Amino acid sequence: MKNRIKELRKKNGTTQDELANACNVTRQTIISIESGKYTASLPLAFRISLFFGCTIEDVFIFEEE
Amino acid sequence: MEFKDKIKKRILLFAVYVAAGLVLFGVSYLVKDNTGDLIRAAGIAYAVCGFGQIFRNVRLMKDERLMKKREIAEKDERNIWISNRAKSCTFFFFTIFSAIAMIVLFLTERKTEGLVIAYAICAEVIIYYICYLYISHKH
Repeated sequence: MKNRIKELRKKNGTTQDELANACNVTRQTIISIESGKYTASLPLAFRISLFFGCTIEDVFIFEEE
Repeated sequence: MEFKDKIKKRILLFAVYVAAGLVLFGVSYLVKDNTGDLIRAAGIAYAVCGFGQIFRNVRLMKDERLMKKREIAEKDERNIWISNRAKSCTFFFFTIFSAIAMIVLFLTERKTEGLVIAYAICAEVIIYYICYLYISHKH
């Protein structure tokens, strides 16, 4: 699943570490989600979206396999 | 449950490990044959591991920042996912290798050992299905 986390992070001037701390996950998890290697769970997707003040659809791009 | 309470419980558990290790170490001197050496080694291993873990957890308790970092790492969903994937792979490979070992043992006329492995595989698969049914019923 593609996402706009990196783009939103750059826009907000947030580091991966700050986002990770705010979402209660490790920095490695944020790196993996950003690079598309790992798909975030629904609660984590909500936490990330809330952090940026967006909806899930604004952050994550759903693609049918 | 608070993470600090979890750490306290772990310290208690590892204290039991140390106690069990020391008991095994003491008991090993009552056993005269080679089994005594084996029990002694197991006792030392338990005690050393227990001490190591107690030291590690006490260090965590004293440092709030380190404890928070540890809590995040333990609750991190990716880490949990990786752990579950690794367990799944272990189950798969263990079953395959056990099946190969069983066939080899039967072919080399070591039927008793082969049967033990065959029963172990059966038990493993039955436990898997019981767990599957229980978890699917629960969720």
